Amino acid sequence: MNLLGLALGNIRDNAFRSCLVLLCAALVVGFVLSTTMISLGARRDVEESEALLGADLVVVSQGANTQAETALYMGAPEGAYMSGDTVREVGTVRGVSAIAPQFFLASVTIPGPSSSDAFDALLVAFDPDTDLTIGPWLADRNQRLEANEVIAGADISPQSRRIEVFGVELFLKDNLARTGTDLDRALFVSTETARKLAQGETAALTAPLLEGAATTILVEVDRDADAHEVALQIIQDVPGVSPIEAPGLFRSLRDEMRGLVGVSIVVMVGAWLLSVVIVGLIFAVSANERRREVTVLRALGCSRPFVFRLLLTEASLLSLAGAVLGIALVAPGAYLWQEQIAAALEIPFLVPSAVRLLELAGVGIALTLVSVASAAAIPAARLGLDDSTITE
Amino acid sequence: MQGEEHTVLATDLPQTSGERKQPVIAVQGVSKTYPLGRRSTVEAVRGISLSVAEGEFVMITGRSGSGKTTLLNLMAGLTHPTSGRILVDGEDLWGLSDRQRSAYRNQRVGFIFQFPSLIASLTAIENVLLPTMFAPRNRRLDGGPARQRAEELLGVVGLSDKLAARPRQLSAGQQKRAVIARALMNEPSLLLADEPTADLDEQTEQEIVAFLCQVQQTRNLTIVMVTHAGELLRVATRAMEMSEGTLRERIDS
Repeated sequence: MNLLGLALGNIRDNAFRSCLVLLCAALVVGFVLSTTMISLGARRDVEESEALLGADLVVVSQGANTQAETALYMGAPEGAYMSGDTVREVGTVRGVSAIAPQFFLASVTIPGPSSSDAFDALLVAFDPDTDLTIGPWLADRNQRLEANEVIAGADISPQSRRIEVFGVELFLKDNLARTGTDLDRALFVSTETARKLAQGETAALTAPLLEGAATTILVEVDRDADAHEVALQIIQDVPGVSPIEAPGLFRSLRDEMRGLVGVSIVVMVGAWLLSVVIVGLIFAVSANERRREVTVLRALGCSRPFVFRLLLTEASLLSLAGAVLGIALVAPGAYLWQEQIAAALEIPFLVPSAVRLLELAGVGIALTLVSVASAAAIPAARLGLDDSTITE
Repeated sequence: MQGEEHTVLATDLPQTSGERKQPVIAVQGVSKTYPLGRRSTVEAVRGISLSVAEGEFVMITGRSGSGKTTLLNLMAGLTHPTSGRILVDGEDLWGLSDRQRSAYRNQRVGFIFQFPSLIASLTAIENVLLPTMFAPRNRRLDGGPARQRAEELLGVVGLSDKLAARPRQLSAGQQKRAVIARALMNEPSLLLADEPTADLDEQTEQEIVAFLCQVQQTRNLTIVMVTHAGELLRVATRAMEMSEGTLRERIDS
């Protein structure tokens, strides 16, 4: 028998109080973990999308900045496009090292195992030889996109590797890494393949593409050039276009995220304070109920610090168990319902990596331990360190 | 202990006599005042002096609220006196550190509370073993020997078949016996018993008192016992009465 055994016995014998403290601890960890996961998940998503983009600047038609962000980020087709001449002019601006025009063709319906499983995908045409996104990604895998081949977003997993688009059978070469955006439901084809797709009634789709037009131009700047300077140069040299620097590309989304994170933090702090107060009250009531028990322990020769340690050990054990419970409930929930979370919050969301999750869990447990122990410390100190509270 | 009773103030009595042995504990002019609300106070113990010699069985009677429990708490070092001193081996109990005072309670004093005082989450034998947990390392009885002693003590009080029982599975009398076994676990020299027979039937009361007398005689244990039951005075070597915070010795003709 030792301090731990005594503490465990008391926890077991006061089931109602123990459950209340445990739930409060689970609540603290649950809020900390879920809100942090959402903000980190959204940030990771933006970072992954930026990394996938592979460009220093994105050039779109003037006034289409926000739509372009939406197009890039959430995958909605962008109507306005830049002519072939404009594309070529952008390529000649001082400081521009390479350009990769992309053309959002249309939304297409990909059949699933049953008719109800069919979903819309965004069809994007690009030049594999000059592209900055898919091109390097293929090169890393020693692959090349041939005619009638398609690269799909992470969510596109048809029954077979053959996808029929506008009556043409395409072969699914590979899937991109998951981004958490609607780009996960995009189909990337070469301009050559796009031309084959657009025949008959769909010929109008590729007409501007054939003339070299683009809805988006991804721009890579010279190694020694400053992206901001190059953007200013593009504005000066090429009328009717808007360059967006990569860090600013997702600015509105980042602002949205910042707002969400702000609200989350307020809710989290509120929940934390409430839990600390509740746990403090529970222990204060419990301390009053336990005066006799402490008197007995003191009469048997236990020291004041022992009583203090006993009460804090109980609080710590309960907070630890509560924290584990909170993590066990929140973490799998975030994995299972990440799409629903993204839809509810109207932001893309990727579950943070396992390492980050472990870090978060550690922080959550530490925060709960400190919170519950702090809440229990005052009544524990009163009971453990002041004999007048037990015999007067 | 029967017949006409005379009372004198304990403070009036000589503290030492030619026959009297070395006191196990001496209470010198001790008062204890408790706050009553924010502005008023109540004086539970008023300038009491009492010297208890080794092997004495001191019985203290008195009405509820007369200060008996406070006096025992003071003697156990559980309550700080407002004034006066409590001397143990000539040393002021409240001049000791908390650790030393805890060691005094653990090694020298056995305490029997008026209220049910077994720890609810522990079994009978774990309750009896509890004092060993707080003993200083160099004097701690560990493992097998401690358990053997706890089993023996529970056997002596008639609970050898209740070792693994939790307090709620024991009757009031059985709980009180377990508490006595626990109080004796560290072989104390002073047993402070606060109404040990309260709420018990007459037969159980007789058994417990007989057991305490036996322990007092066989182990030369010093006992200070507080009780409502005047008929128990017959077993005491000294009888005292508390009234409104003062202590008087009962001298029977």
